[in-house]
Amino acid sequence: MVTLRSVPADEPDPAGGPGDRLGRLLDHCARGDHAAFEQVYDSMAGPVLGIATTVVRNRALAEEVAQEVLVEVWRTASRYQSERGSARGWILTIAHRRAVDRVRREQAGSDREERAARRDDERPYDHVADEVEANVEREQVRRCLDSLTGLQRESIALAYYDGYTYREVAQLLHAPLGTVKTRLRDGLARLRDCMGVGR
Amino acid sequence: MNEPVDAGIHTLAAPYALHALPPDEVSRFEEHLEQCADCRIEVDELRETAARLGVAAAVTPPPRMRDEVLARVAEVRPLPPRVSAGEGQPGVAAGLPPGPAAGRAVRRWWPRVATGLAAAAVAAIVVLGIRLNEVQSDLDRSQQIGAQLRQLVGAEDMEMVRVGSPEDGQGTVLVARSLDVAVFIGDGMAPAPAGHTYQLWLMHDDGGVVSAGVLGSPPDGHVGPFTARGLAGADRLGITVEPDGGSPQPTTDPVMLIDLPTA
Repeated sequence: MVTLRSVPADEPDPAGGPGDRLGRLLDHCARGDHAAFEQVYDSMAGPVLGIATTVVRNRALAEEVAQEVLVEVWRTASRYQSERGSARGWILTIAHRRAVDRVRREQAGSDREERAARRDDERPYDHVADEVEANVEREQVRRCLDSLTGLQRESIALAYYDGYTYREVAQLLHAPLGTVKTRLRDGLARLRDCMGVGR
Repeated sequence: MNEPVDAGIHTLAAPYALHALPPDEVSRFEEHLEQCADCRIEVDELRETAARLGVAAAVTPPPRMRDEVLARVAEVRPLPPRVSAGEGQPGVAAGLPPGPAAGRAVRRWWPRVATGLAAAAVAAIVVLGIRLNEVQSDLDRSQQIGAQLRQLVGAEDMEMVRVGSPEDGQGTVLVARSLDVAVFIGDGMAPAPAGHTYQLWLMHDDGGVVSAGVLGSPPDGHVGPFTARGLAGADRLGITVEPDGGSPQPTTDPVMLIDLPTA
């Protein structure tokens, strides 16, 4: 049984920015401050493992990916650029990229198709009622996802949560490539506006 | 079917931010990103948005994972900050293969034609001291030859030459002719094609080319530090892609060429 964990309450402005607590912690990590890294770990290990688990599915592999991601965060902390987004966004981008790379490497073509066929239709945001702690942000994500059209939501979920390329998404949904690109773009843009991501 | 390069390339920002582009389209889009500031902003925002989707998936990690990660981190030294010339880095991941322009620029230098042109295309020599801290950090990557490198850095005539950029592949060479040693460090280098390796060459002023060693193919973009000896008569280092195991003489055009400081 997967239990979900809330993002720490002391996480300030979700949009991040230079005043971002995590960003400051990353600065300290870059200088070799292990205590700062422990705080980064405590804030981010949950979401990082969550992304890895959602994309990779296999719990042991997901933990491996999550560990690699967290070590990479420590190693490359100096490369984080606050002007380009929040520290949390930076870390979760690394996590998602690694998880997607991993699942693509692990799975050969036929295997992937089979996986698509018996794909678990439940998504993290479907579990809100029973598993998820009350969490303003998670609620917001769910609400924003609900505001998308079904096709936008499905395209984004297949790409983000299942790690399919947009070409694979097009095949899975029997939709033209251009349509999928448009759905992904419009859907993400709508999420961005709904979540108030901006700079 | 491939679509025309520019047709709707902007619409790739969303799949790119979602890591949903196939590899060949990633490189194409990243080339586009280099020139499209608006696209970089869009990608940054869409990534930020996608990251929120990840937050919704958070789970509680097992306590032992914390111990394991902290133990691993204790053995890893954080990378030094980038202090290279260009201010903002382009909105692309490091480790891209050398761009087509760079490829053209070096193409004709092999074998040893147009020496004058070579000089123009090679970055300026950076004298010891300017970036010594950064070099020192790079050097620390290899404990094995750390002592040797420190000796090199301590040599009175040591000079450092750097070509390329961290984004497109960068070569740093430390040279001390008094010790007859040059050390090559590569960063941001694309992995060599399957079954191939990078190979380092000493190019002599009489036209001779001697292998300085096989560098392997970097999974993470880092090559070296690699020590080359026997500098007498050598005025340049070249790097080529060769079949695994290396070649007695270069069989391809160099992907990187570095003028060595003269004695």
